[in-house]
Amino acid sequence: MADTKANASSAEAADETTAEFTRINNQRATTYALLARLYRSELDADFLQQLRSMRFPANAGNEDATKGYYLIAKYLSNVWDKSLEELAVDYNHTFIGNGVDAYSAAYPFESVYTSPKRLLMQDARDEVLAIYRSEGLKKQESWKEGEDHIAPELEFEQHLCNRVSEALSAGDEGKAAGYLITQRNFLDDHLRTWVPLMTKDMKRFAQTNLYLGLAYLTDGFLQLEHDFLRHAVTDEDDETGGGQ
Amino acid sequence: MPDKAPFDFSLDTQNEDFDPLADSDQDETEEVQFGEEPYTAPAPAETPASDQADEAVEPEPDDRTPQERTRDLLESMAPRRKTLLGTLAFCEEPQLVEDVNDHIDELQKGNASVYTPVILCSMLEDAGALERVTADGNPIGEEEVEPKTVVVDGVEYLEANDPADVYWRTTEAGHEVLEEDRPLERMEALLEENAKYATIYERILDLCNTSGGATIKTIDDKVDHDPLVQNPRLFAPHFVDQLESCDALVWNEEAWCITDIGRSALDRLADAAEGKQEAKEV
Repeated sequence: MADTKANASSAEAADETTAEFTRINNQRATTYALLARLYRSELDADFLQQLRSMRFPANAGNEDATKGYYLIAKYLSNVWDKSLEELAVDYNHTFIGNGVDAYSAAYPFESVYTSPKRLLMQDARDEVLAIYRSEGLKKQESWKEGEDHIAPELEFEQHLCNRVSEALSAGDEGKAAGYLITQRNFLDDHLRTWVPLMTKDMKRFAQTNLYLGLAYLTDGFLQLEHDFLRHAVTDEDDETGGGQ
Repeated sequence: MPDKAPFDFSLDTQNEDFDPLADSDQDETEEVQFGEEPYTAPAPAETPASDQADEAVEPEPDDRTPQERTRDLLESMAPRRKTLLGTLAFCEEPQLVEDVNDHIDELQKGNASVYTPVILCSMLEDAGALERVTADGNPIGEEEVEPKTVVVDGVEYLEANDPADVYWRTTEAGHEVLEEDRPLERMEALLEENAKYATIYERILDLCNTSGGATIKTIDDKVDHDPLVQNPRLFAPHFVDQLESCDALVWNEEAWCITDIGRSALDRLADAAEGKQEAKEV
């Protein structure tokens, strides 16, 4: 009888842990989605309105992320008639630039930051493309930029977050661990190798608190992700490949 | 704030029609051929720094004074001169952005432009003729609104605050350039320089000096056959443009109408004609 009670209580605790993990995982996915959207293209009126209706953590557990959220919330508290135009100009100024020397903007492509001549469509693009395909993913025809743009790279992580949640709801912890390993590897091998260089440039070029905040938030969030995944993936998971 | 879920960044999927990572059929993926050397991401420290960027993006310094920049703007935007000056005149006292936008729309009524009120105000702001101020008259940049802090289930969150009301106010430089604008003097100079066409100007102003104004066709009919405009060949729109640039005529969507400046010019032309007649009689 005592064993039955203990087993029931242990099962409840495990359910609660899974539910909490799924909740955190969903938050990770939505943050990846938010960052990807902000990098993908300029803001439009609907998205600006959506941002203004959001809540951002006042303390995100990381100095850079907290500063990023604060700067974004501050920009959103000071919008006026010209904000959309101002943001479009800043997006172009920050990510596209007006020069031809490859140093005039924070180019949001991994190839630029990982090739000696700062060129597009280099090895990094081939590598991420292969990873997307290995996960059965490919870009939509409407996406005209390279696959190593920061937006698809962040969306790839978002997609894996969703898969982790799906695996957990199906009770397949091994599969979930496998996706977490893929996330960690992609984060360490790709996002964290070049994004800090890009955000450093963003802090030089961005003229609005929104894009300045985005740079800090990206830095902070990727660091939080690194810490999270380091703890979420155990040595045993690594050895078994998540049991996949 | 019951309508807001804490830490909810969910995006409206209606607006998110792009998903580059949508699930695809595994069988459809192609093999990727890599080069002989495996790809290794360089260490951040070894990647060239973009310090050269400073030189590449630094714009040329603009040494012009705000007055000069505003005068240059009025010259380069000649067709919008009246609107720009009308905006400066309206903002001599601080005006809410929405009110300024409405006022500019009114000024441009019947004279549609690709330049929106926001763009025109931005141009004046860039030139230094307009500035954005708060209700207290302080420059906007000095008083930024801080986000709101809300506590939900014991956790602090930041929310976008209500932005402060923004007012446009004409600067000292803008006021100075506005004061320089003397359409009556421009009108007098025009009449002096083109004295031989005095009767044409008088005729056009006269035609437009009615409650409904005068249509283009009416003016054309009364001007284009006059012997004075046959050699060199000139047409009515040439004279109408000149009168409009002196603010003597205004287009009201259907016809050209006379303004107070135009009436003054008409009086001056009538006086001159009377003087000439008297001199002839003497």
